Amino acid sequence: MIEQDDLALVERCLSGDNRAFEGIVERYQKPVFNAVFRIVNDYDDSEDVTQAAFVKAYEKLRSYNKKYKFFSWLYRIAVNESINFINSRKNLEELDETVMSNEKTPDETLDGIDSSERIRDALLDLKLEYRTVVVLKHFQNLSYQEISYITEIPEKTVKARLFTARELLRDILLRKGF
Amino acid sequence: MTTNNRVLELINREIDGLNSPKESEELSGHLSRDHEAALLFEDLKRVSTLLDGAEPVEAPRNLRANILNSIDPKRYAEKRRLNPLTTLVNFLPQRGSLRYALVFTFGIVLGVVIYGLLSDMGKQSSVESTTLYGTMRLDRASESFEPADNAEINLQNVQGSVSTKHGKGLVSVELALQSQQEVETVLQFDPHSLSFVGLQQLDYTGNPIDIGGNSVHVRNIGDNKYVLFFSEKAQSPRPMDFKILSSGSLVYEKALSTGKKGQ
Repeated sequence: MIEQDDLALVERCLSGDNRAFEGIVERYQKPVFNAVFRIVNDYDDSEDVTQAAFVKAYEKLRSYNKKYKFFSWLYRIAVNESINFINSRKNLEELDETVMSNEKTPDETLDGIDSSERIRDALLDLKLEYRTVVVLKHFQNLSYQEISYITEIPEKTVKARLFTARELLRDILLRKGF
Repeated sequence: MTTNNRVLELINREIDGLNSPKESEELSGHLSRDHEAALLFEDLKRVSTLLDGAEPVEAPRNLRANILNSIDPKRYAEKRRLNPLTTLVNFLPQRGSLRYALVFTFGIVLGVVIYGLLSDMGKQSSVESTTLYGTMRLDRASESFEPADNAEINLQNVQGSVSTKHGKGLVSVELALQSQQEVETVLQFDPHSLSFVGLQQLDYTGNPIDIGGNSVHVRNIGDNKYVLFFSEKAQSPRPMDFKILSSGSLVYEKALSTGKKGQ
C-alpha cells in the first residue's frame, strides 16, 4: 500500500504536480534524517545532508527505477550523500592537525549517559562501511536485500559486514564498560 | 575453540529472525555444547536489543520547509518564475521601502492610464472583472482594439488560438489554450518596440508565467485563456515570435503581427 502511494506521488510529481513532492518529503523526512544522523553523527550536518539528499532525489526523479521500492532508492541517495559528506569532512580534518580525537576516556563514557548515547558513541568507533549496514538493519529495519541495493554491495557482503559489525560493537561496548 | 562459520551464521540469522525452526534447533544444539558460542550469542543478542531499542532522533522542525525551499530555486534557477498575483511586485527592488513606494506609484500611474482607456468605451465585455489582478482594469480594453493577427492552433497535444490586437498605445495578445499535458508557450518581442505591462488569466489556475526582458513564457495545463498586454514603445512595433514547446521540443511557431491587419 505504502509502495503504491509512493509510486502515485512519484507519478504525480513527474507529471508536473509539485505538491506531490511535498507528500514525499512529509512521509520520509524523519526516517531519512534518522538514518543520516546515525551515520553522520552531527545534528546540523545531518539536516544539511538530508536536505541535499531530497534535492538530489527531486532532480533525479526521472531516473528512479520502479522495479525497486521508492524508499530504498531514496535511502540509497541519502546514504551516498552521508558517505560523501563524511569523506569530505575527513579530508578537511586530515588537513587540520589540531583536530581533537573522538575517543573518550572510560570515565567519560560511563558517567551520565544513557544506553542510546552509548550506542551512538559506539557506532562512531565503527568504520563507515560497518556503521552503514548496522544503521540500515537496526534503525531502519531493512532486509539484507534492501541494504544490498542501497549500499550497492552484494547481499553476501552485507551479511558478512553486519555480522562483523555486531561483534565489533560488542567488543567496543565491553571495552567501554557496558 | 573458536566458533565456526556455520554457528556464526546461525547466531546472526537467529538474531535477525531468519532461522527456520530446524535451523533454530540446530543452533540450540551447538550452543548447548559450545559455551563460547553461547556467550557470543547472548552478547550479540544484547547488542542487537540495544540497537533496536535506541530512540529515534527528532528531526528539525523546519526540515520540511527547508527542503521544499531549496528545491524550487534550483528548478527554476534559469528563469524568474512569476505568479500572476505577484508578477509586477517581483520585478521591483528587494529593499522594502523603495519597493512599496514603486508599487504605489506604479499602481496610481497604471490606474490613471487604464481609467483613460476605459472611460470612452461603452460596450459590455465578456470578461468578468472579478478575474482581474492588481490595479489593472483591462477587461474592456481589448474590445476597443483593432485586430492585428490571429491563428488557430490545432496540434496533437495542444488546441486553441492566438490573436493580437492593438490600440491606445497598447498591444494585446489573447491566448486560448487547451492541453492535457504541460506545454510551454513563448512570446518573444522586441524590447525596443514593446514592453510587457500586464496579464489577465481567466479562471485562474495557478499556471506559472515567466517573464523575461524580451519574452513571456506561459506554462499551460488544461483549458485556459490568457490576455497579455504590451505597451508600444515605437510607432510600428515589430512582430512577435510565438512558439509552443512540448517536452522541450518546438511544435509550433508563428510570427504575430502587432500592427493593423494587412500591414
